[in-house]
Amino acid sequence: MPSVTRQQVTRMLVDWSAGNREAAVQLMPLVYDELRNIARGYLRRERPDHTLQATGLVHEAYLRLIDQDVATWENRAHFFGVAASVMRRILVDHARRAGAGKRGGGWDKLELNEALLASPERSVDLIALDDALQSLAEIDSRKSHLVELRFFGGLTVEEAGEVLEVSPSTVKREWRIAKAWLRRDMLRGGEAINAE
Amino acid sequence: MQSERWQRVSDLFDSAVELAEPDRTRLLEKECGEDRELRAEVESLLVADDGAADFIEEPVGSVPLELFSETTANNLSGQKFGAYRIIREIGRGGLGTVYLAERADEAYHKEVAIKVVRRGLDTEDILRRFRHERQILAQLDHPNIARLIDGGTTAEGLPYFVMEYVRGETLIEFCKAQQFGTDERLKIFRKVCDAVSYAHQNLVIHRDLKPSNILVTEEGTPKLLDFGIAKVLTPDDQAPMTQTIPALRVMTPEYASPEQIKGGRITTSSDVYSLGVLLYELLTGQKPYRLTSRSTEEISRAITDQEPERPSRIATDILHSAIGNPHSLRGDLDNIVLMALRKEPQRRYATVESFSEDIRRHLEGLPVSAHKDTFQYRAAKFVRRNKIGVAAALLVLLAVLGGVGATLWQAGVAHAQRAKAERRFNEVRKLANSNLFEVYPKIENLAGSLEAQQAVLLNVLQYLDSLSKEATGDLELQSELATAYEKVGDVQGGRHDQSLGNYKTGLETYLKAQQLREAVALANPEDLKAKEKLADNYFSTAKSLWFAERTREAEATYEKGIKLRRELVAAMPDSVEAKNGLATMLIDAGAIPEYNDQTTEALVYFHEALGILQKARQKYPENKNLRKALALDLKYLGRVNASLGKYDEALGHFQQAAEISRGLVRQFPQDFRLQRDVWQSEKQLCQFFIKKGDGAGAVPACLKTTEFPRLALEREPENAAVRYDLSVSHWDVARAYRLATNYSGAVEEIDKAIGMISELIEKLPENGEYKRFLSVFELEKAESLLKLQQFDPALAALSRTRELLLRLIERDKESITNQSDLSLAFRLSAKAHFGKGEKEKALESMDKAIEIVQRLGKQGALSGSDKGLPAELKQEKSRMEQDSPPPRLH
Repeated sequence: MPSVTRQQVTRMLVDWSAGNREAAVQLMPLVYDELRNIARGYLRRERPDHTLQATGLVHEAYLRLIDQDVATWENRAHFFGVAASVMRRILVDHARRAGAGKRGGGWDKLELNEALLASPERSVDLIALDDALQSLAEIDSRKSHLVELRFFGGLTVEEAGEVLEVSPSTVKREWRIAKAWLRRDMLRGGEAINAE
Repeated sequence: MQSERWQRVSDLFDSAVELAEPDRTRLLEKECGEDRELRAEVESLLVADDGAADFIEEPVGSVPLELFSETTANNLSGQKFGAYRIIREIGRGGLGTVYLAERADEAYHKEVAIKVVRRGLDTEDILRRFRHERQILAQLDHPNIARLIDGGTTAEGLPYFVMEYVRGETLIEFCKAQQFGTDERLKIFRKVCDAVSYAHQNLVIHRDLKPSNILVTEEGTPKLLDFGIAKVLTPDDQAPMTQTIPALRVMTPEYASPEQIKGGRITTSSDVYSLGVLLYELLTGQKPYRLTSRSTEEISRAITDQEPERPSRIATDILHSAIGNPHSLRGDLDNIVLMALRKEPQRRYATVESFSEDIRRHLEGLPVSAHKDTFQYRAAKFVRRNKIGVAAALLVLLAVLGGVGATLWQAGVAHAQRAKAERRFNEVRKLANSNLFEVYPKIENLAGSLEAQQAVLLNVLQYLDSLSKEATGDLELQSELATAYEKVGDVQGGRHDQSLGNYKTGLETYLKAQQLREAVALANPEDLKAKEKLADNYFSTAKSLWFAERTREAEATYEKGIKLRRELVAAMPDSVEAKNGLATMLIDAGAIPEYNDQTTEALVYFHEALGILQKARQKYPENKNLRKALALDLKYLGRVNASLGKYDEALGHFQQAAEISRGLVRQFPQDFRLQRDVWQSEKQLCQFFIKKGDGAGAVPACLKTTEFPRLALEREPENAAVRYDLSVSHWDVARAYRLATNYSGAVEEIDKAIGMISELIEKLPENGEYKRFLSVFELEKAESLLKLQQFDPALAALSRTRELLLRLIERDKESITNQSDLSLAFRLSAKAHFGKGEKEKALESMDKAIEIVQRLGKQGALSGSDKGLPAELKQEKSRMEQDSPPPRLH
């Protein structure tokens, strides 16, 4: 990684902490590229199972993109926040494409979900989750963002609080209702709104 | 956005979820009452919550790596985009992938290029840029620019654009295939220039001109593609500086201009540069920079620092057979290409048109406007670019020539001393080597990079520290080292104009030097030179301490310096330098209490300095430094007295200061700084009268202040700072006229000021200070127009003011001055409306004025006499309510 980019990324994070919201938008392509680079590196090295822990991947991108001497804990949380939304986009896009027409790709919906989640009983329909998150964002964008941060980015309660600028207790409270809302939405099958 | 309803649901859920039955039901009954819908909503959430313990609790686990390496190509072929069907991928750019497509309805056969945004990049930002591109391209209609046909979003939300498909080769390939000679290459290049120039006239900068963006059709028509990151140049669409980073990332670095690399302002001149690179390649077959790798870092360095080789030389080295005789490039063509490739935008061709015109002139054998860089220019530039490098090299030289050299040169040095000297020599050589061969090139290539500059300084300091450990007892060497430290301190943040502005680190370095200086002075109390150097060090250190806001220590250090300087004056009663040194130290020390409004303390310093200087001047009436110090001291004295309301004394001081400065200018007419000193004295005088409210005194004093900037502007019409100075002087004159109740004179003057500042704004639209001044000038104009009862023009000026101020406030919400000016603008609008007999509008404006000052008052932002503003405005309003408007005059 050229150090120029490392400086830029660090700078953007510091700017972000200083209130520049644009920084988040600018970071996305850089994070995306770096995730790709890392993944390709592993592929070349022929990892046997061709999979990698999502959070580990993000963490590696962080180490490669950020100047540890300059970045603070807050910067780290912001970075993971960006990575979460990149990760969501990549996974959901893939799931949609795989589900849509089984063209190419090689991973169908089931395989993907199994690979994605630690145990099969916890498997989640990513497309349904993404749809539900979009609906949630319409009525409460912060709670939707919170779920993105925690589920796709693996952020802790404290880190998510840092990104959203709320206290950990607020995060815990909002996490619970967000989960309930999403689960209800997914059980109902998204569109159907039946007040029992 | 959270509706109240949803907030209510959330709150209820939060409370209920903590409760067990039957408390939960009881709560819901109580809180929801008859609102069945609310209850159902909360209850359904509670039901969902019941089984949600594990739901998405674990974040995503392992992911297939292929997800990150796959491309969208295979998924898209055959897919439909509106009326078009993708055939195959034809290219990839920074922003997306380009596909060849055809109309799917086969109403008529037509091939198009479709550009789809890269997956993973489709953020709001990119979407905005794409929407932008669509608008721009739709506006551009030129035979050499590929047209935009359509646009939309794919099923997956990726934005796409349908563009005219250009079947052809890149410009460079085309010229090669056609075996074009130099003239033919120039002619086709001029067509490209036409297209770029057309875009510029439509306020569009391409920003990413490169061979792959310029295709030539089979008919030989060049077509420009991909206005991907172009931006409309309208003033209200200023790109925030922060957007430059992805821009750099997205564009091809080899063709980027230095300002694009550095993140500077991108103008049409950036396209001139990129066209220059293209022409270079077209003529020589080579890129202008010699690179060993293709890392972004190296390319960036080369673009910002490396001077391109003359095209004729390259063409000789690697003769591109088709181009023909490389000698044909020598002279004009070399100059033309290199002029387009200059690092500083303002030194390139002003427009693409003039670039193209020069090529035409060359083709027709006419003289061209491009000329060679002068040696002086390049030398000056080298020094500027390598400011710190030069300083570091100087340091090394100083150490080698001064310290080591002197020691070795001493005849008959004892063996032990020689050994020590040799060791020292080696140390210094290490320093020299490390600076010259490791660090120096780093600086040379990374001009303007603070990081590298500091790396050098740290490096230098490290070696100096190691030397200083050995220097104990060697007074000579200690003194050398102190000098070296002080030099580094100057560069880091000292008094020199060209410092890094880092007072704190500079201060530490000065303090290191101070220890050495003190040791040397203590060891040899008779050495007056050592004392003088120590005093100088106290001066620099004290100043840095003050800048670093360590006022106490600054004062203490000044005291030490003053004591030392007094000793020196006593020891050298005839030395004018010693006296001047003491006076200068006193003036500087006095500036601290003056700044802190401790006027009595400040006056003690300034008066003592005045006594010393006046006495010395009797003996040495011609001494330049003495006179300069005297003028400075008088200015300070005048300022303190004016602030104390002692106007007569202040006036005397200002006039004396101006007199001395004018005398100096007569004697040293070439010294621009002295002229500026005079002007500043005159300005102070003018502002003094204005502050005093003395119109009769102010008018002649202020009129005088316009002379200097006017003369300077005649010499340098392009100098923005001088133009700014002159506009401010006209404003002062206008204020003076208004005080003297010559309102039409005031309007005339303020119009001059407005004209000038508007020109500056047009040239440098990003400068907020100019806009701020324009708003102040318009306010001033309105004041006089009101006095002249010209209410409509006053209202026009005020509406311009308000518009400017609102924009400024939007950018800087913290600024109190802008807000209180806005309040004043409303207040004056009220007066104007009232004067016109529009009582209702007047009261409306007055309310706005009151609202602003009240808000400022609540924030504690009103100070001094402004504290009474809300009450004052309310009174004015009630007067308006009671009074009927004055009879209209016209």
